[in-house]
Amino acid sequence: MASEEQRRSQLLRGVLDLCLLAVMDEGPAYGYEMTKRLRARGLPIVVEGSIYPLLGRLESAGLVDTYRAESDGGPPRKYYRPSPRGRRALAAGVAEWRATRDAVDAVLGPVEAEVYP
Amino acid sequence: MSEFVEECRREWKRLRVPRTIADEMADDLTADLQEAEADGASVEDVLGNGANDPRAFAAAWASERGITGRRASDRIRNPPLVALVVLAVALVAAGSAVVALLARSGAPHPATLTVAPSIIPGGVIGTSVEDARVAPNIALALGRRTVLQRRPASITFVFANTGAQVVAPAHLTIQIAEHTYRYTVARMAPNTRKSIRIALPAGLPRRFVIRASTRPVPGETNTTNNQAAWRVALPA
Repeated sequence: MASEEQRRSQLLRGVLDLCLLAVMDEGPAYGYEMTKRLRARGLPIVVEGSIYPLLGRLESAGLVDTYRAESDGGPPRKYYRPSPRGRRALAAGVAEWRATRDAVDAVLGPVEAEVYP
Repeated sequence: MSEFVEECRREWKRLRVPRTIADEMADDLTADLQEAEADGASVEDVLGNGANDPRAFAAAWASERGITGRRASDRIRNPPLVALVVLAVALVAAGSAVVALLARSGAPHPATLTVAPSIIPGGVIGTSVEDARVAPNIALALGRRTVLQRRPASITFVFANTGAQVVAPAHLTIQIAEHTYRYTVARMAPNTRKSIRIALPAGLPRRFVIRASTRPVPGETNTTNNQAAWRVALPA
């Protein structure tokens, strides 16, 4: 069995691109800003690794548009937002995630789990 | 923190990541890490496991962005089935994007490139020729001839604008032996790429040269990467 951290990392790896598209769809964001948005939802990035390579992949795949602009009182930052193609990918990915989640819940739901700290 | 970024810079340099893009990545990383530090967060909070290995982190980032092609020249010695030649040309500037491409053959001539007034103040200004690639995504060698095992069916050109200025319009000239192709990109947003595929012209000699060039944009200071040439040999 994978350790708790390994399993969490493996689960997150498959949907982190969707999570990034989702948080930048709330409003254009630069790298660290996305990290903060994820963390605010209980998704610390430390279990997976850096988001930067993944942002690079989204960019090279044409799923995000980027632009450079001044941040609040800070230096110019590179802002990301989903491209039209990225929004379609997000919608399709969310539907796929929900279907997968429901199917897994159907299997694991009846299992009674007791977790000790 | 600064040592981490400097280690990334060294790795990008080793991987021959174009200077302008490496500068942009380093600036973004520095700004993010400084903001994190001000928030009381650690490098690990921002970079996760990547904080432990800056070289691996830098290489992964550059690889995912598709900007480490130059190292692939070492792999061309034993290429798999070769079908395509890919030229990657980067035009560095800023804005949002509408692209129109016009291609026609004619006599060799210099490329022209003009930049619209700045929409987003500041940022990198410049153009560069990134690299040339052979399918499947292997970079041609700079400085020595690349011998292809199969005649490529087509050539794919990739334009990129990763700067902070809108480029409108951008013109690129590519020469394949005696054949010259002009491309006009009506408007390119920052950090966007455009690809064009051209069928390899008939009647090429066995050995020929591919050249790509862009004219420096106003305000561009680094013009050393505005042109490149690759020597290619087709199979006998």
